[in-house]
Order: sequence, then structure tokens, then C-alpha cells
Amino acid sequence: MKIVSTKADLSRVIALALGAVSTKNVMPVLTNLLIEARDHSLTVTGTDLELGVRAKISAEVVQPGSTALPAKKLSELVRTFEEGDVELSVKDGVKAEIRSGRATIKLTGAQPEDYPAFPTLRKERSIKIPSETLLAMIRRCAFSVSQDETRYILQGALLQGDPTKIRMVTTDGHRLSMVEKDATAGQEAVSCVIPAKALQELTRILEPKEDAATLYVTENQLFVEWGDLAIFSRLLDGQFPNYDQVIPKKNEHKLVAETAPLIAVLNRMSPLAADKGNSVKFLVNEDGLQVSAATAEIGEASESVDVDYSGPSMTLAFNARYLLEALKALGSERVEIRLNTALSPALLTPLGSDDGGRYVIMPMRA
Amino acid sequence: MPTIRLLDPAVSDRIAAGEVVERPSSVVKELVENALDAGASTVGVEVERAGRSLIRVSDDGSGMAREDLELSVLRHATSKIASAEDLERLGTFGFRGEALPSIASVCELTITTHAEGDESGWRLGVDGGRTLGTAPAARARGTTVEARGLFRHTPARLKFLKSDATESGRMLAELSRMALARPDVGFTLVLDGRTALEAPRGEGAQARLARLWGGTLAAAALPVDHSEAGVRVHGWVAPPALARGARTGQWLYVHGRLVEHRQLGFHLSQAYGSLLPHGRHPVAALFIEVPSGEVDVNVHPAKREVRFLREAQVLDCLRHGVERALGAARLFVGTRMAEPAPGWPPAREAAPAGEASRETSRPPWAGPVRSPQGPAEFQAGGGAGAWAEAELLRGLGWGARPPGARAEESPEAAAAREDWPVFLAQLHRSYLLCQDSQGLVVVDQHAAHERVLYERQLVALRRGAPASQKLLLPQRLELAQEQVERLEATREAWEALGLEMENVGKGMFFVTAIPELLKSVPMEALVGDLADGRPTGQPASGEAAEDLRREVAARMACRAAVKAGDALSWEDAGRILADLSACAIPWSCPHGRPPLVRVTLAELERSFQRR
Repeated sequence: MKIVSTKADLSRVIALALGAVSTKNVMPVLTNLLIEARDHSLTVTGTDLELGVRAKISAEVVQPGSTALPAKKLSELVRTFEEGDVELSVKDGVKAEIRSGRATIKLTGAQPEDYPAFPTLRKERSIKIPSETLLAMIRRCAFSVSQDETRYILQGALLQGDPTKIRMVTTDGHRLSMVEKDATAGQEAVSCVIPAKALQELTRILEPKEDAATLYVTENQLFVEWGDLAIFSRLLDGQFPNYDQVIPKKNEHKLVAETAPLIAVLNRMSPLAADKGNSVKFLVNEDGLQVSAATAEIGEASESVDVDYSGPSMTLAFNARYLLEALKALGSERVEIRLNTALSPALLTPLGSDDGGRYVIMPMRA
Repeated sequence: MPTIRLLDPAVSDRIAAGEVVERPSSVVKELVENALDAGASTVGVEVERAGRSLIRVSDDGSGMAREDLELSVLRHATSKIASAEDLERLGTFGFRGEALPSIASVCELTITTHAEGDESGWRLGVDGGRTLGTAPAARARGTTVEARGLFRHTPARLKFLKSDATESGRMLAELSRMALARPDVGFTLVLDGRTALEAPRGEGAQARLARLWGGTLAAAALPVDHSEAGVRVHGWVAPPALARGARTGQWLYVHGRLVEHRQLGFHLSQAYGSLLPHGRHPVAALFIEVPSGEVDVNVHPAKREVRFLREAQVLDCLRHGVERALGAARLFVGTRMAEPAPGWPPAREAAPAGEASRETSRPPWAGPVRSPQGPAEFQAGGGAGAWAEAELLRGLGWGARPPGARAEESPEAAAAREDWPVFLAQLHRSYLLCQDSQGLVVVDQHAAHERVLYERQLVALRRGAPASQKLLLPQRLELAQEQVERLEATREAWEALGLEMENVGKGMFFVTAIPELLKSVPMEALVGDLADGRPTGQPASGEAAEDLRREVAARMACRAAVKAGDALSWEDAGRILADLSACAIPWSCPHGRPPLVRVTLAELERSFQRR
């Protein structure tokens, strides 16, 4: 195998695939990147078997072939190369020689045949969605994925598509985030739970463009195609909670506030809430909203916020972090918080520029 | 012809003897108890061939008149009680009237006795249960009982005897335990002509303890004396560093009678709580006194088991007494086990003896190394009952302890706080090197700070419930019926800490809110622990919730404490040391690891071969 490419192209394609390379050394071959040259293009693949990324660039292929080279070393080396052409030639599948400028680097890799094959795509049910929309959905709700190892199914995001809508839902058992978008034409019904790691990789390697990404969902795998990139991920297997049941429908007391000032107030309260599980108190009545926090023996803080509210007087407590994350994800100038009682879930929805986010937060016991 | 018939007395006696006279040491126990009941001030035991040939117990007690002597070998003949009511207020070891006839049925028994006031003494012989007759005999006041050819008539039992060494060891252990309870009485044990135990009468409790436990252990033993709710517990407990791998070091007495009682043993361990790593057992000698009529010793023929009318109070008293003794003491983890005194432990308790000798046989150049109790072996032991926290909480008025029972410090402990280690330098950004009057003290900075913060958090938790997060998705748990009952019994306590659970019946619970700080703890495990509570089944109010409270406090403390690797200024280190000295329990971090380890000057001197 022998190819000629540029430092810029090579380092980009290596960086894309590197994210999927295993950090554990259980299977040594997985610490490599699979490099394949054929038909005027170079394909670089990284995987830890849970997740895989395959990126393709065009390159001058002098002699087709393949190899598997140590991912971290290769990435570190290529980054230091001077701009310009890079020549990569491989003998016997494992002996690589890289030339850049006046530098010659010899690397010993692994037999490409030992590298696990990238799963072949069975084009089953699919969703087409502009990459910018997919990224927005992930950004709007990835933060409330559960960290609890014992509730496996909550460590991912539910992706659900039907002929009219596409939605993504995450919950950690204390709060729930949902984003809903209109479906593109011809969308098929799908439902799967995407692991948090895959969401992370998607945000890292997709760029916000109008170009549609295609998501193929099989029984246990998600396959995303976007231009010259392909990503696969194992799906989480299990029953995601019925999110619709959790979203309150009868919260009648509407509180409307400007988002930015409310975020500022919560940020000011947070230092004094930190020692008490981030608990901030909301005292809401017709006069407005009073937010306060206190830590025994340290101090307390309170601040009033202008709101529109006509419901009964109520005292609630929230985890300030949950509120802040939801408010930041809303992406609207104003927020509507719908309340029922002090101990029942609150529903946050954006006002003005609605991009489909819905946030349910369970209060704390004050 | 009827197939059911009354057994021949010789047969029924032998059956009964099976329960009382299990092995030679039971003969010693029964006969020595008789001697003590007769008011003896010295008791001599002579044994040949581990009791197979001869067991002779002589006393200087009241002796028996001829009629009494002849009655004594008859079943249910006793001088100790007269009516059923007397059973309720036993002041003697014996009362069943079974011991002598039982022994007599399995050996050749000779009793020689001389009662005060009688002109002469008398000798009675019994062989395999058959009385051989009474004859005058010369003897000073008192009684001598000789049992020869033990189990000769019951070969099956004979077969089950262990080696002579084992059986002799058992007799020594038995007599040692009895001797501890009666320092006013002199005891001797002669095994095949060799004196195995010689404890002069009236030598005082502390001296008796030193004789039986060995000087080192006795010197380290912490005195216990605690009364509550009409129950008194007194005696000694050994510091945690001297704990053993088996329960053999637990001598528990009720009204001076050695007993076996699982709950007492369990509560003893509970009192040590986080001070003991998993698998280590406390060493203790504790005497329990309850109002007469509140204990039933008539449970088992050998009277090893007892039942208490108010078991919970007895257990609480034991636990609190031990906690108090431990809390008042200065519990450094040494880097080396103290040297065992000669003669301790008794010959047959091979395991601890082996351990100790291994320790002391370490060559001097082997260097100051960790003892078996060193940090490496300390695991988060006994999560169920860290006594230290219980102590602290009770001190704050949380527990079941009556007011005013807060541990007062012993003068020694108070002095120990005066001699608190002084900071010298930080080692590898992880340990604080300090000195006190006895040598070098190494402080684990994280464990020490953790303890400081932990005690503060416990105080804070008393003032207000921690923040609690309502769950959007309630978590379903399935529990066994007995777990459900225990959970419900303590509902108030765990609800006060921010745990909310809805009982929907059939063992199903929905967790609807959890303490914020325990968010990442698996609920099944947490609730399971709460539901399992203490094996007593009847946790005192608030006891089960202590676990939860401790868990919350420990998490808060661990998160906030300085870590290994943090550089500390001189002032920081001094502050941590000072705060640690003010802790109720500075001797253990919340997970049972010791924050302080000491290398004594003596050990240093040995290492440098200065002596």
C-alpha cells in the first residue's frame, strides 16, 4: 500500500476516527486505527466495538492496500508535521513508513485482517434530518442523561420518530428533557435509546449544516451517515420510561419570567445553595417571585424577580443546577413555568422562539 | 404387652448426663460450681490424663452432713432451692440437682466431705450410678469429689473426646473463665502433676485479670462500668488493635455465671463498630447484673444459655457501656502488636497465640512495619453499627441513651488529649508527621480531616434535615414481609432524613424522594440495609436511621476533606490536628480506617538496634 495525502487532510480524518478508539487496553488491536486505501480515497476507522467512526478523504492512491496503526502515536505524530504532502507506504501489512518534509517515521502496526469489520449497514428504517437540527436536539437535552450506573436505560436518549414528529427525550429520574421537531417528508416510525457516548461523538464530529444526516435504526444498532462520515453505535436495550405520563398536563398556575435575569439570579444564589444539595427556595405569589438560598453558619441570599403570576401563593424548592441547565437549554427570551403544588413536577416551556423544548423538573422538599 | 415403658433409672440418668456432662471440662465446671456454691475460698482441681483417669476437685467450703451426702447423688436432690419460686431468684450456680447424679452415672465417683460441726467426715462411693455405701473418713472441713474412669461406661462418648491436649486446654479455659468472676476465691489447676493455673485468693480483680489475660492485654484493657434501666455491665474490653480473628476472647457473665449469648456477642461487636475491620472480634470480659427474677438460666441443662426478661435493655446497656469505655480511651493504632505475656493465651487457643508469636519473632531489622491491624487491613468494616457515631449522636440527644449518660472522659483519656501529637512535617503531601511523648505519630491527612468534617456534619444533620429530591420517576422496590415491618417501624426516622417511600402493599415500595447527597447510591442497597436493620429485629428507635444519617454525613465529609496529594501549610496541618483532638472519636475515620498510626520510641530504638 502506498498513498500521498496532505498533513491537513490526514490530521482531520485521524482526529475524527480517534474519538471512537478504545481507551481501555483489553483488545490491543482496538488501540489502532484501520487505514484503507482504494479508489482514490483513504478511509480511517476507529472503534471500541460499542461505537465506531469511519471517515473518508480523497487521496492519491499509488498502490491500494490496508494497515492498522497505533492510533495515539499516529495522531500525535501527524499533528507535528509541517504543512504539505505526506507519503504513507506499508509493507507486509504492518511495516509503515511515513514521510513528511525531510522526516521519515517508521511505525509497526497490526495486521488489518485482525481489525474488527465495520458493521455492514442493513438499510432498514431510517430518519433523515439536517445535521444542524440533530445537533440542536442533542444540545437541548443531553444534559439530563442519567449518571446512575444502576439505571442503565436512562444513560441514553430516547429517539422517537413518527410520520409527523421526531423527538428526543432524556431523564435521570429527577427531571426530564424533551425536544420535539417536525418530521421531514417520508419519515418512518422508529424508536431507540442512544447511549450518551454516541450523543457526545455526534456533537463532536457533525457540523451544523443543512445537509441531511441519515439515521438507520436496526434492532440493536444505530447507523448514521453524513457525507463521507459513518458512525455506528450499539443501542441501549430496555424499556425507556413512559415520558408522556410524566409530563404534567394539569399544571394550571403559570409563571412567566425573562430567562436571562432568572439565570442571573439563580447563579447568584448557587454559591449559598451548594452545601444544601443546590437547593434554592421559590416563594411565589401575586407580588412576584422571591428566590432565596441559605447555608447554616455561612450565610443566605435572596432576590426578587419580576414575573407574571396570578396563581395561589406557594413555596417551592428546586435544585438550582436543574433549573439553570433547563433554562439555558430553552434558548428563548422568556420562559413559562407551569406549577401545580409545591411537591409536584414543574413544567418549563420556552415562550417567544419555541424550538420544541419541554422540561419537567421535580421540586425538592423545602 | 405394652411397647412404651418407663426407662430404667440407670438409662435415664445416662441420657440426662449426656446433656450436662459432655466432656471432662463439663465435669470440672459442674464440680467447681458446686464448690463455689458451698462457699469455698479455695478450689483445687487435679486432673490426670485430661480427665480420663481422674478429675479431683477439692474445696474448703461448708461440706455435707452424712444425710446430705447420701441425698446429693440422687437426681433432683439439691440444697440450693426448695420451691419453684426459688427458681426465680437464684443466688447459686446450681439448682437442678442434676450435676452429681449425672456425673456419677458416667464414672466412678467418690465424695469425701466434712461438714462444720460434725465429728468426722464421710466418704461415699458411686459406680456407674450404683451407690456403693457410706463410710467414715478423715478430712478437714470441705468436700473432695473424685471422678475416675470418666465415660468408661459410655464408650461412644469416650470416642468423641479430642486429644488430651485439647481436653486439658478446655479445662484450663473453663477454669480461667470461672476464676475471673471470683477473684476472692483461690483456684489451682494441676494437670498430670504440672501446675497449669495458680490464682491465689483475694488477689483483686485487676491482678486476677492480668494473671488470666496476660499482663499486656490486661494493661491495655479498658474498664467498663455502666448502669442503665436497672441493668449493670462491668468488666473490661480490649482496645480494637487487640481484637482477634475468632470470638474466643469474649467472656460474658450473667450474675457471675459464664454464658453464651449470641445477641450479647453481636452487640459487643456493634459497640466497636467502625473501629474493627471486618472479620475481627472484640476481646472482652463483661459481667452483667440484672434485677433478680429478670433472667432465666433454666434454659439448658448446662445453663450456658440465658434469657432476659428485658433483653433490649440489657443489650443497650452492654453496648452503651462498651461504647463509653472505648470513647473515653486513647486508641492509637500501633505499628506493632504488643508482646503477649507468657502464659497467655491459654495453651489451647492456638490461633491468637500463633499470631502473637509471629509478630514478636519478627527480626529487628524487619523494620517498623504495619501490624495486622494496620491500615491495609482496615476496610469499611461494620457499616451497620459504627459505635463512634452512635456515641456522638447519643451525646447529642439522638439515640436511646438516657440523659446524662454521655461518655465522660477517663482521667487517662483527658491526659491523652493534653499529650496530643505536635505537627513536624508533611510527608509526600499525604501524611502529617507528628510527635507526642511516646514517639512518632503519622496522621493520614484525608482520614483525619474526614473525621473532623464528619462529626460536624452529624451535628448539622441534627439541626435540620438534609435536602431531599423528589423523584420524577419513582423507583419500585420489592421487599420481604419482615423487611417491610422493620421499615415501617422506623419510618419516622428515615423520613426525617429526606427519604420518602410509599408502601403500596404486598412488599412493594415506591421511593418518591431521596436525600440529595445519596442520589448516586443504588436505592436497592440503601433501602435493603435499612430494612434489614439490626439482626435483633427490634431496633431501638432511631437506630436504623443512624445508618442513613451516617451515610449522608460520611459522603459530605469525604467530598469536602483534603485529599492525599494536597499540600498543606503548617497552619492547615495544625488546624486539622487541633480539630481532630476535639473530635468525639478521633481514632477512626468514618470508614473505620485509623487516621493516626504511632511508631513508639521503643520500636525505633529496636529498629536501630539500640536495645
